[in-house]
Amino acid sequence: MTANSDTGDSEDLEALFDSIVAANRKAEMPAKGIPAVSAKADYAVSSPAGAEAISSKNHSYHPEDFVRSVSLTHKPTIAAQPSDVIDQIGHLTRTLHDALRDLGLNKKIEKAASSIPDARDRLNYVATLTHQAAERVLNATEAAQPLVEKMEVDAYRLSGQWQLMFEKQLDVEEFKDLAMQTRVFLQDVPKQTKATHAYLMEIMMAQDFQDLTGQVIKKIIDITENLEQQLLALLLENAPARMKADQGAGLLNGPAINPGVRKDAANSQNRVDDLLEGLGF
Amino acid sequence: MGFEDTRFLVVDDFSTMRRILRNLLKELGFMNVKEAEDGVDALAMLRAEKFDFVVTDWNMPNMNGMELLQVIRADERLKHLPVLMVTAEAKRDNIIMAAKAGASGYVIKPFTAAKLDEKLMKIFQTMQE
Repeated sequence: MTANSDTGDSEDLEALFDSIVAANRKAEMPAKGIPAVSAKADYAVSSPAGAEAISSKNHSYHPEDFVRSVSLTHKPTIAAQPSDVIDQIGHLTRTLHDALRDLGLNKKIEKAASSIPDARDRLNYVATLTHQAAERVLNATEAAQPLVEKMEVDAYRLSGQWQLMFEKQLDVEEFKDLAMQTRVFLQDVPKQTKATHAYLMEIMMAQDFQDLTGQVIKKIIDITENLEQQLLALLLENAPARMKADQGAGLLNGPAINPGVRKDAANSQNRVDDLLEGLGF
Repeated sequence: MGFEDTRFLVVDDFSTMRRILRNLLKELGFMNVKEAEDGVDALAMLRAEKFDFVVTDWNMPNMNGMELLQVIRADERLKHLPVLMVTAEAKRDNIIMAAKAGASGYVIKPFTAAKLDEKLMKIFQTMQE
């Protein structure tokens, strides 16, 4: 599920981009300028997904209509007492409600479970990228170290020789040799620093994983928050009525997760803790 | 104005990527680089001061890179700014969308220093034509 997984090779895609731009440029010659683009003027962020209104069940109910419709469609051989009918309807409603709830639960469980492989793939991607980055950094560091060490050793050695020279302990030949060695060293230093610099750049570029893994981790946080909410909804729907009354009120307001706002997420976390505790978990 | 005086605005919500881009630009000789963390931030800076070049990510909160590009192209004063997109978005449709919306270049993350250099030079070349 890497950024490039379903997309093919970056080079090809970048070439595709270039060809479109080139075609656009040709098309607009000689009228130079950038093609007009209709800008989206409206950047209002739509309200978060959790804001779906829960439909209130205030359908008007007229007992006389009910009795009339029952008497038209259902003609018992023995005149049924009104309380029996109500009882029967009650059982039917319960069966229907349970069936619908089970259907809903199955869907929710399916949905919750389906997000797990996605999260696993994403985590694998993070593991791969961070591993590669660590390898790149260690390789570059190990390659740069000998260069720096060699410059240090050579500088110490030459510096020691020059010290002897100032103490007048070198003869003419030794001095000539020192001058030559110093020249070679000075010529070599920029090469070594350039190579070291390239390794430092390599170390810097290796940090680009943070941007890619950061995006993936944010998505995983969304997935796990979603999963948590779905599991809690399941728990609530299956909790005994008494506990639901005690604990559910706060959560039934809807999964008010707002991944963008950590403070809010913390509040919802407290509510989750309270709920779980209330349900005996 | 010299080539190396080009005023860059780097837009990315990840500070690490902004620093990488800033350092790469410095490496290429461009010392004049400012940073914005999303499209809204970038637009405010573009309208407040003068820039010559925008390098932007695609996926960002508040206003993403595509929206930023569209606003730039629709703005009389900004529409000639070159905009290089540097993004992990590697879907065909996205690339086509960026090209049609007037992006000047497109680099897919992760990228190399040489790749960034190549794309920048290509844009500079086009600008001089």
